[in-house]
Amino acid sequence: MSIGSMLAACVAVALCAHGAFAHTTVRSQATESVTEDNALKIGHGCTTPEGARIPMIAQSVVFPSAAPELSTSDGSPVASLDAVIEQGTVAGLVRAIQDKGVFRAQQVKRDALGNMTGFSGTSGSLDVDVLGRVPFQFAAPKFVATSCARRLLVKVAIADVCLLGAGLADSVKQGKVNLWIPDNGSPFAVAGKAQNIDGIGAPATLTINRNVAANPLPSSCGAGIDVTVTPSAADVTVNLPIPGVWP
Amino acid sequence: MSHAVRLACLLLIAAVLAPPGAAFTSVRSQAVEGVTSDNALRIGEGCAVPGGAPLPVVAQSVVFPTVAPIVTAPNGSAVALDTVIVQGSLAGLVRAIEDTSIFMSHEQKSDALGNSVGFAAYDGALSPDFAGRVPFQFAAPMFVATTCASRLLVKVAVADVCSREADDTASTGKVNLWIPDNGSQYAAAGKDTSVEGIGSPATLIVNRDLATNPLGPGCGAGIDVTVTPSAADVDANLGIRGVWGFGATAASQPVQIVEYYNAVLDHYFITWLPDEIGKLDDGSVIRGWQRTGREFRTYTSAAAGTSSVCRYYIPPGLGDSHFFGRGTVECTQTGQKNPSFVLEDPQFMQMFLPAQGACPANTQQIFRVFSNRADANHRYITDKTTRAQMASRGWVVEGDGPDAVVMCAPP
Repeated sequence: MSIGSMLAACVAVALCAHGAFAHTTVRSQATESVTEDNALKIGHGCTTPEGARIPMIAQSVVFPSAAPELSTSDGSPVASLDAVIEQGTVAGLVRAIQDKGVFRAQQVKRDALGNMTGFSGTSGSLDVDVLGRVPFQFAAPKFVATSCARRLLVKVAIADVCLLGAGLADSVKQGKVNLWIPDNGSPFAVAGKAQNIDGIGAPATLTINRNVAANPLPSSCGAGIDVTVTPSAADVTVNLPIPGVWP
Repeated sequence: MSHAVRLACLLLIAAVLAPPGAAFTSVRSQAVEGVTSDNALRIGEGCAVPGGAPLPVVAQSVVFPTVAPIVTAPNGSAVALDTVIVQGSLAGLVRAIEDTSIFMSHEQKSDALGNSVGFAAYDGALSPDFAGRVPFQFAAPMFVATTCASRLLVKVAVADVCSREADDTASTGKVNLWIPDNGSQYAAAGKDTSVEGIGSPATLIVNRDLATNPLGPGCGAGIDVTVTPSAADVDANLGIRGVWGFGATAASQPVQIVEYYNAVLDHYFITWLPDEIGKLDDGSVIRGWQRTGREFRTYTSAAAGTSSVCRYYIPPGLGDSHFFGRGTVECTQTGQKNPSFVLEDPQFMQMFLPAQGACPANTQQIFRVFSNRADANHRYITDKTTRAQMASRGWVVEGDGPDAVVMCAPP
């Protein structure tokens, strides 16, 4: 390997490492039918175009619930989540844990049926040099026995808010927010892309592994596939805001 | 398969299928012999009120089995604990971890020798919308080499308290008692009123390290030994002195409330919590606050004729300060009108309420003024001269009756 290619490789590794370190991510993978504590790992606050680092003061977290987008690793169609998990929905599986480590005030998000679909924290200030953990409980769903899904990748939309603005246009700016959300047409994604906001198209991922010992794949499935469930644009639009606080 | 075995299997399956942590208060993780690790109690629910919203948990008491514990083999026969674990007792193995996510005050329960036997926490509230975690450290005991025990099931008595009123100690909807059903006064009273949890204590499983401490050849797969708090243990240790439990409030004595002032913020703050007073006086963790030299008194648990005073935290955008609400009505209305306020403790203090502005005999008038600024702040005062001075600075006088009194302090 030439020195040049070695340097390039080093830069690539450094960039990848930085990226993995900086995103807001889910701490642990889950196993089907197991209820466990988990947490969001907050890697950094916001950075202004001038390079100033701003601490995070609020966070909004949305699990996919209303008409989520579904895709598979092999491109095979999946009509609904009913065919993948017995619960048929991710709504109601997450439960916020009361914790004052980062945010002094917390709120929950629920769907029309009262199922918890996310949560938010406000009145916080996460030091820019300190990592943050926001705990939650997750009851991993059970895979449908006939499904070929070996893993369910749950994409979680997250807004890490550093400065409050007046409305969406003023709030979605560099230095004011990081948006770890799918790039699927929500006003947040559109505005975030235009403003070059960190995180557009990079939502956090909660991986749920099938317990293949207790719930083996059908013999026709081979090694199995990944099914990805992503919050729809409508879901993000409706549920990402923190009522009365942001945007 | 015998009927007994089938029943046991069905119970096991039911337990596995039940949503873990969805309702019961339980222990988060299993332990391994000889390993000291952090763990937590998982609070799954508040106190269920028929036809109404559940009440928040405002205090918790936790008792590990140490006083004449009931130790049994799977067939129900009694076992001596010193034949199972090297330590011979569970006393001294648990330690509370300070965490203010739910409760602001914490205390360790100790036996006569100073060994920890449990812990308690209060002055806080777990919103029913959220799951709660109360962390503790546990030093898992070592199994005696000759015992056939492969697991030790430690039953932990837990009281999740939703009302600190003396009459509510074992009332349904006011407390959940995750305790053994073995004749304690808490179990007896709780069963009478259908309190949730009687007979369902939390379980901390200690696993034998079979790699380093294998079972003897005659032990087969090994057995579970269960250690449960005795009725005497529960009666002696479940109460929280001065806070909750049978007889806990009999010795309630008023404490001093200390007032502080932050000149940069032009904010006032009052507290009776020793931990907060220590931090405010020290100034290294919470900076910028000075004592004003003004104090008055309050009960910290219900006394005859008192009402609860709640404490709300007002978020930074609205004040970054605290509000103390009088009685259930003002507390509830404050929360409804200001959903962003954080209810830190629904029963932070116990004070007397004025009747049309008149305080009961032998109590002290407490006045309140409001800064009337965007960074909302309230000051609680005992003399009218200071109140008049504050009013001359633009603060708004609040209260009932001709003297504008908000509450009345014990002498």
